[in-house]
Amino acid sequence: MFRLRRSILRFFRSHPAFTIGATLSPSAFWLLAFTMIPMGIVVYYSFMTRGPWGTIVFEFSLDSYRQVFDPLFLKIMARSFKLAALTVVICLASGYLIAYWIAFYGGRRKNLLLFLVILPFWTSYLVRIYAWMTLLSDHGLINTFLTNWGLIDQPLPLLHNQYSVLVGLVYTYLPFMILPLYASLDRLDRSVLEAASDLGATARERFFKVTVPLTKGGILSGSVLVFAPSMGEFLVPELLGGAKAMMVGKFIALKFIGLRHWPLGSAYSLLLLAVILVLIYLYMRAGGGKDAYQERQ
Amino acid sequence: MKRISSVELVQVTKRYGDVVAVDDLSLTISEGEFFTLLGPSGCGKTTTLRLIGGLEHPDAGDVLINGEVVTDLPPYERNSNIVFQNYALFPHLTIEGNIAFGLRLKSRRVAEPEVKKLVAEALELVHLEGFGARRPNQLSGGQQQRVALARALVLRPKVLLLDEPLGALDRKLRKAMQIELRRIQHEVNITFIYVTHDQDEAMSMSDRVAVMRNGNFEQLGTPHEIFQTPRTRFVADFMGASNIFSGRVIAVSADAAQRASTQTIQIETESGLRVISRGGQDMSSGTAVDFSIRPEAVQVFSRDWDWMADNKFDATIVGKLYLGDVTELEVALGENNSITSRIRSSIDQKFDFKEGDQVSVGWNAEDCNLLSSGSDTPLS
Amino acid sequence: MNRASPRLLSIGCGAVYLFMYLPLLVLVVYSFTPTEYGVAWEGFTLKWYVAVFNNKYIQDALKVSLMIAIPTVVISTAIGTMTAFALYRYKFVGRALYQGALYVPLVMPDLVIGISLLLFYTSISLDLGILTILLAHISFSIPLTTLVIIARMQRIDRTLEDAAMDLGADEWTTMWKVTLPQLMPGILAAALLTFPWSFNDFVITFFVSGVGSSTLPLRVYSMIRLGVSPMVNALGTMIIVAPLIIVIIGVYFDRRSVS
Repeated sequence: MFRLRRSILRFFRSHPAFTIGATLSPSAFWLLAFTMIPMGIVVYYSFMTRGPWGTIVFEFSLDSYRQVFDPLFLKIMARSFKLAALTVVICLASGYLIAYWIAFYGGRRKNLLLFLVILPFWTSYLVRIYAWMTLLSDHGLINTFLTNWGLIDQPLPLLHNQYSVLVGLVYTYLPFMILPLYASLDRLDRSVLEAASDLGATARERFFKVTVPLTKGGILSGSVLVFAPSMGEFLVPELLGGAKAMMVGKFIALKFIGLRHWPLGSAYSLLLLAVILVLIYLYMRAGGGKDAYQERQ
Repeated sequence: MKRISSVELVQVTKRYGDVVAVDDLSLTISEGEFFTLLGPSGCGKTTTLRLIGGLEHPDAGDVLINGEVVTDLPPYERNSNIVFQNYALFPHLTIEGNIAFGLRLKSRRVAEPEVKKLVAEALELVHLEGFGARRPNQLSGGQQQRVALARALVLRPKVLLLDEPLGALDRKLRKAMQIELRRIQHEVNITFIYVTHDQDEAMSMSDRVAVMRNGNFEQLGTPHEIFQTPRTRFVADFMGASNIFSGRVIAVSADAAQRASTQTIQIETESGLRVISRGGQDMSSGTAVDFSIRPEAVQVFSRDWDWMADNKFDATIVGKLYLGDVTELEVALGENNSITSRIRSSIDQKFDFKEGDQVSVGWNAEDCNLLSSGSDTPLS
Repeated sequence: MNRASPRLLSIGCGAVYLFMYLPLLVLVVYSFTPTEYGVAWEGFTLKWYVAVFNNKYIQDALKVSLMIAIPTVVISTAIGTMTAFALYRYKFVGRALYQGALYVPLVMPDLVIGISLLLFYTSISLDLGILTILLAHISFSIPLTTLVIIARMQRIDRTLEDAAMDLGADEWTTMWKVTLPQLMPGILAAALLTFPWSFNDFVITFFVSGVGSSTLPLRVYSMIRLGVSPMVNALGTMIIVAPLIIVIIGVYFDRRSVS
């Protein structure tokens, strides 16, 4: 048995290409079959035409792409962009607060506090959005609370608008911002801050001139991790938004489910993807999530 | 009695990309020898060690252990074991588990009772009886180092390779461990190949030392030879012989009278100093030569003291460094030259040297150590 | 705590934590009261929990979710480990490109992934069902597990493997006796992240599931669409509490094994 095993090992040792191939093949298979090829099909379909009753007619056409420049779609894109950007800003502000607190004041409870941040992520995201529905609806907790205390006469329309969508997005993606920020802050060399203090910087100056630049990597990572999926969200606008809060994600989904216009939906999806890939590219150009320390390596 | 060669390297070369870490190196180590590879970081000593152990594969040349060619064998098929610089103890195993690791491998077929016995013996050897149930992170650096040693020795390798194992220990512990290692080596009588950048360590433990530089040997010899008669500038400098001069031979004379048929030469240094030195058999007037003088050989007395030396000069003390048992004096000879002298602190006190004092310095001709100008031919 | 944190910071953080947990608390609280509309508290009851347990659709959905999540975790963790080895230990042409391609699904919107898979399955005439969901889940879990395991690999000591081989263990034995034990925290973390991701996934599953292969999130969605039912509260509470219990048990056992 040993002889066989040793000879096999000797083979793999002297043929590293084989070893790499063998270990990489499972993920390569999945990557190819379930990511690359499907994406290829989306591209292919985007150039096809829609037949009656939503079937695909395999005729080449650029119709879908012409429709893409429909002002309605562009307006929705712009709004989604705006909402996603706002989400990033709010997540950054509140996320930095938490990450900073845990990193600098967490002490022995750091792991626990981080765990409390991640815990909601483990529950169903659907349930979490539903919980917001109950909170914000006309008969929901907040409205009832305010009415009972006589602060308002009529229920506030908290649900089904852009703001509820924003709340939903922030709520869903906050952990994605907190974790990279925490990772950056945790790696920060405290003695650099002490040196700044020693040289005369105030707490505010220390924060903006030292801490923030040194956590650039975490900020960028978190922003991308929040922005990209926010752009493509369809459940939050579906459940918490309404007609007034149409986002790209929901718009595309409708093309597939409601309208059954697969070529058009494919074209739109590719556009969304393109926007996100441009974003990723810019992110890599801006340092790709590496903090100042790591850049030198 | 002819000694069997324990480890042999035959023209071994190892490259990493453009960098040649080990450059056409050949070496023969005898059984039971304590052999040290000494050199600054980057000289290739650790790579050489890893090549012997099998963790690296040479690009050219052969490695032999006990006469058998092992060049293409993986580390687990060689009869050598390594004590790593960072100890590399398995954190998920106890001390007992660590030491027994090699024994418990199926390929060795050691029965469990035998394993327990060998582990106990190993713990005794390194004076860590009773520590078996603990985990590595519960032990101090010195203790972890001993476990690493025990783990390697319990397998009774023919060759033990040690990669700067004492680097992380404080001075007192290091000195104690050096004595321990020597004792253990004599007790188990196996070949030790030791890597270090600390020349004191190399001196105190080794049978032979190889000073390495840029992937090959600058000089190979006993500690005494390396220390007293460094052959090249690099070795002299590395061993702390801080007085190195360059010059030209200006006179040669066979000196039959004082010492038995040795040659004497007179050298004029670039800075104008005239020095008499022993040796230089193949040199004639005009040959370029470097030489070094150990600071311990440079004597310093007050000007009115009556004494003799082959080389004696008037000088001024320009610096003084008290190091405890010795005092280092920086002495200026004329405008262009300075020389370092190390004298016993008691002598310094006796003559009450201080900066600015006018003194007399000197050394004998045989204390001048001639250096070859380059490192092309390693001398053994 | 290290030192007393500035008052403002503490309050701010408290507010954020409250924001994160408020909806969940509300959900939990209202799962215990019989109120159907509005938010008046009408007394304590377990009737919604009973309803959930008796609901056949929910039971089926739970079975389906587990049937998908558990194999997903096992397979993607195994593949992730292999991939991590290949990417971290070896240099080869196109490694950076491969890594990039591998991580792309992590930033692609679920929507696009779901759509692409739907089109793919349709074009190869594969019926939508549990298999299609499983294949999809594995494919988007692999980048996650690979990432987590590579992160752990960066922190393990390579000399341990050198030591093991030097002591006589060949590559295979070294892997099982030294490398994998060292990687275990990473492998566990990968599993613990992949399970909820798969179990709770909605969007991708939505596009690739067929009739009769509803996972729990899909079932919850249809319940929500039909109207805000308190049964969802009860179900939601259970979904929140279950991982908590598992973690508490896990930490308890972890503490015991250390002492």
